[in-house]
Amino acid sequence: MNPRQQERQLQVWLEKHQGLLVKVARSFARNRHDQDDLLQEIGLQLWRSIPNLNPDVAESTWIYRVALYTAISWTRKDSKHSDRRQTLAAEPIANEPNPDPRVDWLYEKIAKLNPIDRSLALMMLDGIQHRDIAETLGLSVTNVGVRLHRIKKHLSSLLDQETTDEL
Amino acid sequence: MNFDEIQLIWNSQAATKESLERESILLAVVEKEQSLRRLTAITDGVMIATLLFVAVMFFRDPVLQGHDLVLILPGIVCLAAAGWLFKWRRDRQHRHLGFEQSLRGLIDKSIDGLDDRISQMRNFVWWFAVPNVLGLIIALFIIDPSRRYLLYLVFGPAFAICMGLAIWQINREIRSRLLPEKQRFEQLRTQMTNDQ
Repeated sequence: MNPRQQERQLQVWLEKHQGLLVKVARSFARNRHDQDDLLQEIGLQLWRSIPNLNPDVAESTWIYRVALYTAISWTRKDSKHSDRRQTLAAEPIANEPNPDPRVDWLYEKIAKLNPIDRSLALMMLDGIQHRDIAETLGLSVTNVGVRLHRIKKHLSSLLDQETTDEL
Repeated sequence: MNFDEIQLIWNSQAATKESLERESILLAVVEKEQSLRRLTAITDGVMIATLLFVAVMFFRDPVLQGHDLVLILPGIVCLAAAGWLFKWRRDRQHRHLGFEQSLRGLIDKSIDGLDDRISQMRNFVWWFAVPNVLGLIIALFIIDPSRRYLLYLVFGPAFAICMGLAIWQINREIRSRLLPEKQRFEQLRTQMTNDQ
């Protein structure tokens, strides 16, 4: 595959999976600059992954795999990224306040989970099947089920607490 | 309260307009990729060319004029070092994460990659600096008829000090950057396996 085709493929992915990419970036980076930086890094890794694209893996699973791995790796070295960041020509990410302020609250709570649980929560909320989550993360389906049950309980209790506090 | 409400909150995002400035990201990616490729190609090229040039210089007199045969030895070492660097470059290109594995596989692969990098960094000084400098000392000794031992008495320890500093710097980099990185990956792996 030549660079031109790679560029075209990346363009298609960025268009088709922008929602997924924005969600990953928001879950792993809190401020706008970090989200820009992370999105660039994910873009770069997606670009590099194109020649190795496995046709047996669903496209969204592939994008999740690359994006989550990059986000987890990025988290571990984000402090060193500020000097390498290239300023984008325009704002790359929609960060306008959501109509439902609880979305921001939810991202805040997800961001507090450990990176693996964060990845699980993201995929679960996006409606990915347990089997696909297990395959993407390299966990057993049973383990994914147990972990997701715990995460659901945790998030629900946080929401309960929030509602009680508001009252 | 049950989880359905959380799911409703999450789904409400679909109604908001999520848009990426795709052209800007694409441009940044292409630029970054090109500049990284250029930088590594230049660095590797200069190092390999230097070793090959020094090897040719060592071989010149023994091969063309048939004297100072001892210079063949550092010449061979330089050639071997150039070959090792070339192999290192190819291995690194092949090691580019394939993403064909699961996240856990990638984490394992990253840990292996870091181990590999640590050992390569430790070996680098021995493969690049030692053949060049030792070869130069031998060559100097041969072409210098006056055998100014004082020069070698200064040059030898100075080289040893430089080597010591280089090794110290490399170990410092490994301790401050690569080992903590490896530790974080191992923690991630533990997080994944804890509940298995």
